[in-house]
Amino acid sequence: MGDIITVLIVIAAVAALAVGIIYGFKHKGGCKCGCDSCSQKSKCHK
Amino acid sequence: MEFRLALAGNPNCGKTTLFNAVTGSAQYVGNWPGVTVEKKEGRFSKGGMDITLVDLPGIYSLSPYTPEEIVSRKYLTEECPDLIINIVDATNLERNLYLTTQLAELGRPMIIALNMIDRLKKRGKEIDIKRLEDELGIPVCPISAAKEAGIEDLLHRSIHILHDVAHSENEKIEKGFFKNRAEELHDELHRIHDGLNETEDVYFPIVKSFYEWEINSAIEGIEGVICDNPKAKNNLRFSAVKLFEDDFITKDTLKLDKNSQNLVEEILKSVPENENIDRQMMIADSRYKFICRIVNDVESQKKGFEETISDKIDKLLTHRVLAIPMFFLIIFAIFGITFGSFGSMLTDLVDKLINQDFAGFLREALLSVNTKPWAVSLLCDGMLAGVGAVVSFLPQIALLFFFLSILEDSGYMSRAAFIMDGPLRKVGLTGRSFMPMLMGFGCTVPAVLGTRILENERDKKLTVFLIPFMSCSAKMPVYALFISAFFEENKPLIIFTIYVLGILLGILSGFILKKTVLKGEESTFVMELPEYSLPTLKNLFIHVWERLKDFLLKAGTVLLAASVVIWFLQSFDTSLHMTDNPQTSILAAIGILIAPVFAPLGFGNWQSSVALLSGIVAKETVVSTFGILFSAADEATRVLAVQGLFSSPLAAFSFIVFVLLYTPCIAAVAAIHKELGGAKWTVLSILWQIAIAWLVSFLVFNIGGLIL
Repeated sequence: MGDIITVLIVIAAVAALAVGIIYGFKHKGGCKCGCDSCSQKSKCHK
Repeated sequence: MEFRLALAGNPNCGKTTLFNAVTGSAQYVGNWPGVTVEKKEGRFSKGGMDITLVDLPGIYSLSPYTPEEIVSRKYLTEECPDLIINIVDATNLERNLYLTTQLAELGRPMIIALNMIDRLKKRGKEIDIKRLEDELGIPVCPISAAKEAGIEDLLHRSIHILHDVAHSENEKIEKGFFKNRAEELHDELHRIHDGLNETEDVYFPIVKSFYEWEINSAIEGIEGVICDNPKAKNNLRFSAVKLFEDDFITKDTLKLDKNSQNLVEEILKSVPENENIDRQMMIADSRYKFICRIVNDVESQKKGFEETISDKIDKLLTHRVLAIPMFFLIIFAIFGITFGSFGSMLTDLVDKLINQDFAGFLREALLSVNTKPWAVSLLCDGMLAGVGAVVSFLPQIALLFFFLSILEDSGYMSRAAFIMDGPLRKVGLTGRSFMPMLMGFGCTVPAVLGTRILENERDKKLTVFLIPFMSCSAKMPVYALFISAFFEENKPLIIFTIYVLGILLGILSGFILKKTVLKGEESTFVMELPEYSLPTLKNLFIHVWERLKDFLLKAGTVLLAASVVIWFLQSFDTSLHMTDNPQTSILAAIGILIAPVFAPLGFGNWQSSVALLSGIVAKETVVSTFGILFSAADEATRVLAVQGLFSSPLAAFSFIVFVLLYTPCIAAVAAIHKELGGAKWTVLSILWQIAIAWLVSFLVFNIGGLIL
């Protein structure tokens, strides 16, 4: 049981790392497409 | 069938409120002009039609002077929406109808949504809707977007117009004589010349009543010259009027050949000249004469003129002497509630639930099933301690934004910009720059992107440089932790000092930049002060929720990832062996390397250095790092640990000042890079922030040491 949870914690940490990096890159100063819909909280129009 | 509807109107006339009410969206609504800089789209279905509603930035005219005007004009002239909903503020009929006269010339189907009709009644005024409709020849629907009154009727009539548009176009296609408007006008102009002007106008007939006979004849003559031009086909009248005005964008778009240019010149020479006013002024003058006549006909005052409540409040809040002290008093009161006993009580409650009860339970449960201790440490001392340290400040962030939203929705923020116009003029900016700066109290990223409302490139650069000095909400957990540890007695005063210090240093920094790298002409600032209004609970909820959502999203992604990295760096030594002694960790090695830089500022310990370094990812990470470094899930432990790190409250204050002023987070730097449009300016901005932060912290610590 303890080993399974250990593995799950490691998987969670790796996943958190990946999600954090992807999210961080996606939201670095608005949309990549430059339409600025992120900062305007609206649907991307490109 | 799918249709596109465009919402067009003056700034702060309620477009976004109507947009939200119709589409069910939760777009940002503020009681100040310039909330919408880019167009926004929302979809809804009505009467069997799929409709895309486009919320355009607020504009006073279709002249291309500001970025908002360019965005709106481009959309209206190039995308040709199926129906324009022109929102007119009933309390400012004369000024709002100016845009209406321009929109009517676009030749698109249009309906007027006469908004704030309830406020007009409160002022004892009335508008004869039927007469307004008859005089303009455009359908008019009285509404109150904020109270969601009259919207059904507006949509019903809009659908009716769209049905008519679809029906007439289908009919034309079926009968095989479908022509676009330019072709129809071309035929019509031939008929005019032949004396057979019996057909109905394809645009609103009223547009011919705007101008004197000579001007009208000249515009019709220009229409005849350009009607074959493919770029003028969709808005012939508008293009002709713009050529009459000598509008450079229209000239550039149409690219008339030499012959057409000569013909237009000949027509313009036939217009009697007035040496006092140019042709653009002639057009504006004619429009206003027409509008004044209509307003006189339709508007009536039921009660005698009375000073409105807004006027009375403004006598105090925009008072020549009292305005600035009142502004600071209001801000101080907000901090008093947010960081005082009420805010702290809420924070303590969340902290206890997450960081003590839940974290304690989780640790015990995991250890009881023989989970590896390092994995428990990764989860509890790394991920949970890092994120929990920041999430516990959620109630205070919610409270701060609740009050700031009240100020914004009530209309006070516009007054704040007006009040700050004077001090900002001293650094070569105007009150217009204060809006993005105020947004900077929330988050630097949208604030920097919001500087595109500034027409002047120098103003924009200067404002982008100033925004990071505004204390963004991400820095709040850092302040909250430090004031709990060192300034328990004077919480609101310290927070107030930090915020005001940010504003003052921003202004001072602007002054230096104005005298050195950003010299240039000062621009003018004209701003409309909206009427005070009671904020709606729905809007307040949207504002606070948007901020909390961003905060939680960041906590669950970037902060969580940063916590894992920091835990790893703190739990392993440079030979990648796990270590129990933080002094031998990779994090300590990095911290020891950079700590001497901060020693003159009063915090030369390696823990503070790595916390500041991690803060570049996101400012909240500073608190997360302290949480992980001291394996301190709950606030009480973190407070004790932080107290042990700093030699005096002065050193702690110096640290807070450094956090306030140093380089903003990566996302903000990317936004700055995007808006300044060059690595040179971005690097200059980063170096500027670091230099100011170091210098001011140095002065605070050393001069403070001499005094205290």
